[in-house]
Amino acid sequence: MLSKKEKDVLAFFSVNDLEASSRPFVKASKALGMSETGLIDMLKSLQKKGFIKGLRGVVDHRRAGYRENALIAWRARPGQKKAKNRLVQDVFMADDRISHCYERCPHEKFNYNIFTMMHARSRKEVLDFVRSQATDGKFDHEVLFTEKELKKDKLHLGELLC
Amino acid sequence: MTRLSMDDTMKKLLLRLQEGLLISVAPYKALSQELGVEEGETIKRLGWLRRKGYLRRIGFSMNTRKLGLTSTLVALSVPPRRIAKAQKVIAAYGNITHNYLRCHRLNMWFTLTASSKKMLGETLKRLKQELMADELISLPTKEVFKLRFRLHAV
Repeated sequence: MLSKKEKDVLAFFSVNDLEASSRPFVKASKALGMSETGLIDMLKSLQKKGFIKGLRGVVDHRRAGYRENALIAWRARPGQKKAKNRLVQDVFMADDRISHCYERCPHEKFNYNIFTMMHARSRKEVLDFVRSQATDGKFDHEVLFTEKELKKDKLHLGELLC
Repeated sequence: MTRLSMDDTMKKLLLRLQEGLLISVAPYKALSQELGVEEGETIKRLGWLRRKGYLRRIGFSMNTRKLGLTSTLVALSVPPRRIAKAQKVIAAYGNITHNYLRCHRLNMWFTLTASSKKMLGETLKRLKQELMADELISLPTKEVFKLRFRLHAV
């Protein structure tokens, strides 16, 4: 599926950021033993094939003014599948304050299946949002405010792609 | 160029960076043309955003599902006196990317990725021991509906 070189390239960029210079791939291509254009072509092809999602900046949300972050877990009550789809498609997908929306296999001790991360200026903003979406009794939910970030790191692909 | 600050161009730049850059020989050149500034200015602005802490990094995001990897969100209850130790244990795992304390009975939440379901299970077993946890609650990823940051600086 992936060549050895492609795995090397993915592993390299899973731990190395793109440098802020006018030719940011020069050093990386040397480190990988490739030509600059060879590397760029491979990266483009990996993106086309769907292995690379994008080349993006990661913003520190607290620094950007979003002081409160919450994991919100949701579960549609029985017979509310339509309402769940509407909530995901129309609300979560459209709201920039929701960065993540995942469906997960629930656990008997934490019985929710839709998980969202929300970034807001205050706890009240989060609670108002949740209240506005869950007033009609179609969902059970829990709000878990972030107390402290202990780790936020890139996924190191080297060992995982062997 | 005047002194750098969180002006309109900087806000636009921060937003554009989150939306994604085109892979090319000079990705910041294309971005600069879009923003109507010189490439050199964009690079200075990137340095400023980094120094001031707004921008953590610019890098590639990978599709872990497509790469055949499997992931889960793990929750556990850690007594306050053991939090520092647990943080240290988790710091050593290159396949745990996020670890947060949250206001809940289950106060520690982290994400774990592995090359297979079997490896995931084995890692969870080892973590349970290392973290001295009575129970790890694992919530495997079924579907990613959205993973997109598009935050405006406020």
